Amino acid sequence: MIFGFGMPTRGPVAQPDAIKKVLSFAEDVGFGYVSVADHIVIPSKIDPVYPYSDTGEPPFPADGECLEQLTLMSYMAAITKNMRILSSVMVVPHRNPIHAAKTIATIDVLSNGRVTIGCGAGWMEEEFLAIGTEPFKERGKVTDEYIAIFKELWTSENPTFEGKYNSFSDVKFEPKPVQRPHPPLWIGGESPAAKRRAVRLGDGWFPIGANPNFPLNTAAKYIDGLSSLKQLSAEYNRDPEELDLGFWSNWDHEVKDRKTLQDGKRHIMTGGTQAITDDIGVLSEAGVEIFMFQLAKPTSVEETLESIERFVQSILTKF
Amino acid sequence: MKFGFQVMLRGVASSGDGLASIARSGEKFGFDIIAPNDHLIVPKGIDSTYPYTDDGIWPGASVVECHDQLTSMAFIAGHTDNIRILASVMVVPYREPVLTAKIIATADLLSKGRIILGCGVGWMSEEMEAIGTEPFEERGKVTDEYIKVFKELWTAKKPRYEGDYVKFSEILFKPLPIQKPHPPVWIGGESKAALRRVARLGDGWFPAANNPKFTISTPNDLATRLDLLKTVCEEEDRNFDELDIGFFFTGGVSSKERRSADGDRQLLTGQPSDIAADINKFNDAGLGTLICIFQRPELGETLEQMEWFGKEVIPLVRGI
Repeated sequence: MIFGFGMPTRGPVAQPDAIKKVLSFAEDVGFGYVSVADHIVIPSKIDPVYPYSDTGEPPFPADGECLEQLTLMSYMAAITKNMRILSSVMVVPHRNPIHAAKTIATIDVLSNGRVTIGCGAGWMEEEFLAIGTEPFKERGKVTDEYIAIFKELWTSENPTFEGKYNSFSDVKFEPKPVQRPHPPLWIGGESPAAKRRAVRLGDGWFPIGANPNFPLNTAAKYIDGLSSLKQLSAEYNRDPEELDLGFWSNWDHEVKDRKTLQDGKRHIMTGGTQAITDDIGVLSEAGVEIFMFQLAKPTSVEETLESIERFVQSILTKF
Repeated sequence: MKFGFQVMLRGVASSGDGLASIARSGEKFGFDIIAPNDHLIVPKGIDSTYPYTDDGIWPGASVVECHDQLTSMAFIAGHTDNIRILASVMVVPYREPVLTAKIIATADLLSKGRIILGCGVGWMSEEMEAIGTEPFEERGKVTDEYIKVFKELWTAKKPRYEGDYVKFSEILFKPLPIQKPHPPVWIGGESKAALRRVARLGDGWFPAANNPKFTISTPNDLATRLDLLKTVCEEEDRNFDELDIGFFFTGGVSSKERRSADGDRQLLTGQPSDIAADINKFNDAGLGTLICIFQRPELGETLEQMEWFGKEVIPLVRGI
């Protein structure tokens, strides 16, 4: 198994010296992944429909501070040697697909093949409107088309595409990514639609445990979710073994007594070192290879380093 | 005088090691600026006229490799400490403006305030079509509007914009760029329309030498064009003295003296003292920043050329 954590895109840890310090330490102590979230502009008024908190309120600062995801990932590629750099997740409709494909290929080549693209369809309509994307309600179709465009550009000798949102022909797209056929595309999301997308288009499934609409907040629920993924694979003639499995615990794992809303059970990846180690064991047994944790403390570099150190001592070294 | 070198994001600069090596070496050899170019996708058949050759054909067409410019600038920022990073030039219509403003602010923060935004309107309609930009014929208006959008997002307390191409309100934009009020915006292009854009929207002018319609081969050529810029500034009520003046010298820079057909030594070739004298004449004509090309098919040769210029020529100009 491989461990990783998310880096904040705001505050004192999202500064160049801090990023260098944290990632250099993380590489030394054995983390395999670092991830970056995707926001471009945050509107001042948002409908509280954030899928990953029980209240729908997103964990944003009131001032909307955020660094741009792919730019930060490229910077991280420059300052790391071995860690993989994961978009967690890239909101696919946010960016023109030709621009995004080129940006990702650039990061892949410059990093010597260390980028993984977690993909999502997005949830914040106000952000879509501010950026000027295709219509929010078509975000599923847009995501599917953009992913098809990425693959065409990344793999075809003479890329050609005719779609609802973009068309091109008679172009060359070089250099191809270092990773072949292309950087892995991990589909985020916990709904049946997301699983279907993972099976049809993805190289991996990368859900978050904390979606109250489709909770994967106990090991048992994750195992159920995984078996429905495998059923879908059969329907779509996709070998489920081909899919990378990652699990994103984007909450404070050091909480001792968190219970799930749905059934009052211990929330996965909380409740002490032994409990977490057991959860990792169960998921790993089921095929999960990559475990992402919320280790960074956005208000303090020192606390972030300490948090990473604690995780290494209590959990990472056990595996 | 400031000195920089252009990087074509292909060939020797295509690998991470190659690009890092070029960037770090440039910093080590005393250059002030590294200046990567901008292409997103290379069409196979290009009918558009390339403005920078006599025959209108783009020499890059057969090469086809390109990395994304802004992504590469962030990568360069991670590998360097002091050298400034100049988009040379960013084709403004290529990228969505709100995203681009965010990318540049991010790069400015990560580089600790080293970004210079060279801006161009573009020339290749086929590339714009493939990307799906606003119409090629409107690229001037698009560029003007996008630059205004950048500045609004970078400087307004409560950014809002309503234009022909872009509309937003009630959004939060943070962090702001490190540089205040924002990274310098250098307008590329040599036409009068470009000069007007400099006066209206730019912090600097950044022409290239080899536009056959407005060739700038000599210090005199530059001085003449600067006179026109001064006039345009007066018309636009803009203080000419506020403007940075850059220049992309596209000719060969070489320690081997070259002679032109009429027997004169070609500028920027020959002994370091001769080259320094050439540069001083450009400086006298009003030049502030000189960008040259040292990139060769081999990395070793590229670095050698850069080292020679950085160690033998630049100190002479600076009187070190």
